Amino acid sequence: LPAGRPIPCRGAHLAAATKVEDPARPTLPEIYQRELDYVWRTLRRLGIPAADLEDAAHEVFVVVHRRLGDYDPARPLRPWLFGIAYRTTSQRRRRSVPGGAPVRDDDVLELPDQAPSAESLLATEQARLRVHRALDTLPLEQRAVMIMHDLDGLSAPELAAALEIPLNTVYSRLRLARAKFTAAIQQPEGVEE
Amino acid sequence: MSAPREGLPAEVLRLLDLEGAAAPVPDSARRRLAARLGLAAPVALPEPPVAVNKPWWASATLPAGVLLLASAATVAWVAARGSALPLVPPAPPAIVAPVEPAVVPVMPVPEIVPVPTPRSARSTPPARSEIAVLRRAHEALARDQASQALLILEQHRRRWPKGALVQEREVLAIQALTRIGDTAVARARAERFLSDFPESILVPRVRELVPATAPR
Repeated sequence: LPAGRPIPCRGAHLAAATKVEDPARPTLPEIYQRELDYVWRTLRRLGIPAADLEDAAHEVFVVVHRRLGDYDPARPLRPWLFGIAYRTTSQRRRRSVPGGAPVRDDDVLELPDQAPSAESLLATEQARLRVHRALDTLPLEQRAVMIMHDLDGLSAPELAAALEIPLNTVYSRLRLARAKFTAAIQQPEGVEE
Repeated sequence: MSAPREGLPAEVLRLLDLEGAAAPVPDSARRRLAARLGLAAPVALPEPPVAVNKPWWASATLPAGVLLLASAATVAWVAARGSALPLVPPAPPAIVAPVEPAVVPVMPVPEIVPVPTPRSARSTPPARSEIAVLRRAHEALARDQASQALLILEQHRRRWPKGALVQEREVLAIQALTRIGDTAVARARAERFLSDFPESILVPRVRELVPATAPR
C-alpha cells in the first residue's frame, strides 16, 4: 500500500486499493457513507427503475473509485457525482432500454405500511411518484438539467461544468424541461399522452 | 449555491419540495452495496461502541440529542419503577459490560417522586439497536431530512410497537411532522401522546413543539 492515511475500513478490494495522496480528497468509504443517499436519489430521479437501482449505484461507485484521482477537492462533490450518475444512466439506457420511459410501478413497493401515523409519508411518496412520472416525459438531457437545477439547487454554471455542456445549452434545456414538466404535472390524473 | 426557481407554479414547487425528502436507501441495499464495493458493512449504520469502562448511555459518540433522549428514557424508566430503586437502571446482561459505580453519570434530577405506574411504564431499558434506529432518525432530522426521519421512525414503530423508547419516537415524529409543515397530523399525534403519556417528562417538549396543545 502507498504511504498515506490508514484505510478507514476493514479490508477489501476497492477500498484497500484507494490511494490517499491528498488529505483534502475524500476516500471512497467516506464518499459512500456521505453520498450514497444522494447518488441513489439521483439515479431514481434520472429514471432508473427501482429494481435496477442497486446495480446502477454499484456502477457509479466503481467509476467514482476509478476516477477519484480526477476529482478536484476544491470543487463541490455532488455535481461531480451527478455527472457520473448521469453518464451511467445514459449508458445503461443505450445498453438495455430501447426507448420509452421506465416502468415505475415497482416504486410503489417502497411505500411503508400505511398506518394512520404514516399519512404524511404517503403524501411524500405520492408526490415523489408524480414528480418522477412527470420527469419521465422529458428527454434524459433535459431531465438531468431540471433535476440539478430545480431539485438539487445547483447553479447553471455548476451544471454546465458537471455535464460538460455550454451555459446557453443549460438555460435552453432548463426552459424546455420546465415547460414540459409543468404541463405533465398539471395534466389531470389518469390522462396519458 | 442555491439557484432560484422562480417562474414555476406553486403546485410544482410544492411537489418538488416534497420529492426532495423521499424514501432513503433501504438498509438491505445499503448493506449489499457496501459488501459488493468491499466496504465495511456497518458504514451506514454505525453501532455505538461496546462500553468497557463506562455505561453505553454515557458514550461520547452518541449525538447529544439521542443521549438526551436516552437519558430521559432512563429517568422515566426509573421514575416508573419508583424512588426506592437506585438511579442506575440494570444493564441488559448480554449487551452492556458491568457498570462501575465510580463512572456512573450523575443525572441532573433533583428528586425522583414515586408515581402510579402509567401505561407508559417501561419494563426494560431500551435495547442498543432501538437506540441506534432512533439515532438514525435524529441524524436525519439534523440533516433537515424530516421525511426520511419519519420513514425511519415508522420502521421503529413496526419493529418495536411497545418498545422502551416509544415516547422518544413519538417526540421525534412530532418534530419531523412540524418540520415538514404537516401541522394537523403533528397536532393529532401530540394530543395522542399527551393522552397516552400524561406523566411523561417529555410532555413539555411536546407542548413546545405543538403550541396548540399547551394548557390554557
